[in-house]
Amino acid sequence: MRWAYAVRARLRLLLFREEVEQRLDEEFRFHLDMETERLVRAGVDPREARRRARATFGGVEAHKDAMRDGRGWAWLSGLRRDVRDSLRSLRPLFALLVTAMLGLSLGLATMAFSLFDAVLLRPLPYADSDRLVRVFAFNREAPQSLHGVSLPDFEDWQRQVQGFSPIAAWASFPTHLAGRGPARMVRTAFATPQLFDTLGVRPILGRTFRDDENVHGGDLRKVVLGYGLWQDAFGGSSDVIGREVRMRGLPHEVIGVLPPRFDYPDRTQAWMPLMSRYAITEVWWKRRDLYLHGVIARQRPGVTIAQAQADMDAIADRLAEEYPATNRDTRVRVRRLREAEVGQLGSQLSGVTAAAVLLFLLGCVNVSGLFVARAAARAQEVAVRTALGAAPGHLMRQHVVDGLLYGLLGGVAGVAVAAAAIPALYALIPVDLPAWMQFRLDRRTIAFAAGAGVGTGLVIAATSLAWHMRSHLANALRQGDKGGLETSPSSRLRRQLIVVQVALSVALLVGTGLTVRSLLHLGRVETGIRTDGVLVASVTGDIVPGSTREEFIARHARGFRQMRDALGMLPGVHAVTAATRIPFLNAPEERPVFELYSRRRDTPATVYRGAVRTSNAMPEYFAGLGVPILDGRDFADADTLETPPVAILSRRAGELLFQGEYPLGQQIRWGVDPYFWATVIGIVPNTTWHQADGGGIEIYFHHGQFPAETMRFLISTRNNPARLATSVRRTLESVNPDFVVERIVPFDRVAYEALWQRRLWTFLFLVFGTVAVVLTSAGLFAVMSYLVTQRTREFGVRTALGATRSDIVATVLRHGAGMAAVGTACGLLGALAMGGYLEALLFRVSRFDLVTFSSVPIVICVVTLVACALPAWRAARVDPLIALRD
Amino acid sequence: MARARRQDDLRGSLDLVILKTLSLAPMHGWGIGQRIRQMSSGVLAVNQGSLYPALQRLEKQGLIGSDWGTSDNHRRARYYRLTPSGRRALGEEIDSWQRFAEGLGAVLRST
Repeated sequence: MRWAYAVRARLRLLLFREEVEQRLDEEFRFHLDMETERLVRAGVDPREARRRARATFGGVEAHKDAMRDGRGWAWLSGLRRDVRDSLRSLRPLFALLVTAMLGLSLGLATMAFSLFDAVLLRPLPYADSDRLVRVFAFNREAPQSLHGVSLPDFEDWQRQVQGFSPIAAWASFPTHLAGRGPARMVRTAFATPQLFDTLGVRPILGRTFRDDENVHGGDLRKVVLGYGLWQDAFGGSSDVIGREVRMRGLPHEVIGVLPPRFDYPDRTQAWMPLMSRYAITEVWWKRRDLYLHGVIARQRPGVTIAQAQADMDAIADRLAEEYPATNRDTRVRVRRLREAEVGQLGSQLSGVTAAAVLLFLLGCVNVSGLFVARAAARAQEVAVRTALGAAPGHLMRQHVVDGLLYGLLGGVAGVAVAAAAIPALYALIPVDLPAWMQFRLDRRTIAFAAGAGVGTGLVIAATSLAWHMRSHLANALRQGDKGGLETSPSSRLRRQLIVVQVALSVALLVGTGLTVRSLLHLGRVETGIRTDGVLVASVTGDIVPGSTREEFIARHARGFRQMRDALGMLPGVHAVTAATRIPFLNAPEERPVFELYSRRRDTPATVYRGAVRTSNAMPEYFAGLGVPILDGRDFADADTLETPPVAILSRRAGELLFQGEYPLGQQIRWGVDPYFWATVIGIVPNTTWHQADGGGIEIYFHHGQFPAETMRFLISTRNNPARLATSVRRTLESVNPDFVVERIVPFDRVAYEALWQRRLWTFLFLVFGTVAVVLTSAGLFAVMSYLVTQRTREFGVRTALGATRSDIVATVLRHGAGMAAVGTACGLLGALAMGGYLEALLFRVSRFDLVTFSSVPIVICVVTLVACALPAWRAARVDPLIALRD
Repeated sequence: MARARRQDDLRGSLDLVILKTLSLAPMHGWGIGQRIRQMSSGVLAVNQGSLYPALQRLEKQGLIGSDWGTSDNHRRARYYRLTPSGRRALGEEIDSWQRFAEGLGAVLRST
């Protein structure tokens, strides 16, 4: 308690100085009045009493002085003075320069941090998120391809698992919601009821579904709305609970609304019981070889990942024994939720963040150089103050205060830069990020900027102090260090700082070069696919619960064909085709391991396990992509449910499946019964589905025989495809109002966006590299100009002794080049050592890429020349007479 | 000479005397001076030049607090009061002072 009183008293003395003085005056006046009164009562004449009271009291000012000394925290009040001094000595131009440089480097670092924090650092927005894991299945022979889980397997896990509680499964599909206005596509997760408990989310209205609402054959038409959908489609009205909404063409009861910013898994807008997905197609959920479900689980307290993994391994062993036909090679992998969700993005982002840190360091060093220059200019003032008895401690404090002040200024400027850069970054991201990944200028980011500002301040203070330690008092008193360039401590320190800046820039430029070259390589990848003059329209017609499998196939096969025919009649359209998955739009990682059975005619089937990509296509799909049919024939409208199933293989698929035998006429089957055998009718080239992907085993089935819910139309036109979008949408919606039309976008735009991450990282590296070069050349320029000024006399003497202008220019350039060379060497070594951070960002470029490593020194060379040109020119123009006279 | 001696007497023990005075009731600066004189039967006189710095020092140490109140003659005055830790400190100070005084007395008597 005592300290509380003491702190209060001291703070009052420190902060309310004026008020304290006034109070003292009042207190003293009261004292004098009382004393006078006492004397008057004792019979003294009032005026005499007043005089005597004053006399006994003594000098009012003297008392106040006595009390001022050691009042409060003297050092704190000294600090107030230091801050005032710092502010007073703030030169507008210098301050502006420092703030701009710090703001730029610190702001960009803050921007990178906000992204880094959102993706890798801050806790996921779920209760106890560090105990959440994803559980994947994989084939023993393809351990890299983690994929989903079959429902029977999941149910066995749920019954047997010890380490997890709860555990939940889901499958995501778009569904179709009819409401006010046109029907809309809703990203829906069909989930087991435990999904909500696993993630620890409570509905803000109503409830989530119960176990008895996830039973096959039960009343499954329940839906839980996400907050965004509730706001958009239902105006956020609270009487939505119990209301019937038409989804998938049937009335569904709204039973709950989830809180804002909850959208797991992957930007889900609505949740339905998993079994409602399988109301008709029971073949899908009873099979152990259809790995359609994502699984998320919560570790029990005290269970480690390793224990959980061992637990799951034991279950996988048991299932392999029990169901060898399907589970013999099925293994299970447990991964932390964040790790699983972030994937490749994490390591790419780490590389970019490392670059941002380098840029931030560069900014610190750069500004420190400016401060050393200023300190050198103020050396005499400091020396005089020291000689007059200023305590060394005080000078030190002044440096720290000065540095912190500027660091804080830089922090504020950095927040401003970040506030502008973060929206700009969003503009470069063409996809919607899930809620947990959304980054913004939040409290954590601002705290980072503040911390970085303070850190910068301390670096500045430390460099200034280092300069002071090195500079000799006497030296400074003696007209500064005009003569001795080589020995002057301030210029030596400044040159060292320049070397560090050059080294950091070189490291950043190497990163920039490597990422730019990777992007160029990606752009040059021969995908073999024509994207210009093609419009892409995704259309989904979902499964109507209660319809039979045959009804579903008929409805979708017919529906999509009608749409294709209607689109073909639009003016300007010369070809229309469609497929379930098309290059660039569907990410290459969507490639679970499937067992593929091939049967040569009249010989037993062989089994292939591995990564397979399938797509169900319409006739002329390959023509639409600009891909030739190498052998055999294309799909035809004559291939229907009534005719034998057909398939087209990529060349590589043909080679792998039939080991060199002629593939046409062979038969393949996807998994065990009840799938039917399809006859190979054609061979197409290997196409890459994504620029960064090598292409592989692709198998195409006929959409009329294997219809899917979502088809992507490829509409070829001779006109600008973007202009066709409106009439395409209108046509699609009028032909089949039950089907939902998603985004309509030019194919070349799709291909462009497919590389957005790479492009984003490269762009950031370019920005960082540019800022680094600008900062470094500015620093180099400042130091060279300073050196030239310092050596004016020397140049004058040399000129007088017969040195030519080119001699002088060469001297100056040699100086600059010396610093640049040392810096470049250090930077290249650093880049070699740190290249590992970049590995994830590179594509067909080695981290020791010769082109990059040899062109960066050239860039530095040019920068050095530019930065030194003006100072060298000035040095060459020194008039010996004037130089010697001064 | 006599006045100077009386001042010297108080040096070092002024804090103790102030705390003791305030232990009876909160009081303003002038009143503290008066009360010290009364309690010591006029033997101890407090120099104002040391009284107010002493009050400030004690306040900084958290031993006393102050509030503005109204005096008997209806004037605004700053009243000092003992804080709980001040009261504790007073007890300890009195003990140590008494031990000191006894010791000193014993020394003086022995000659």
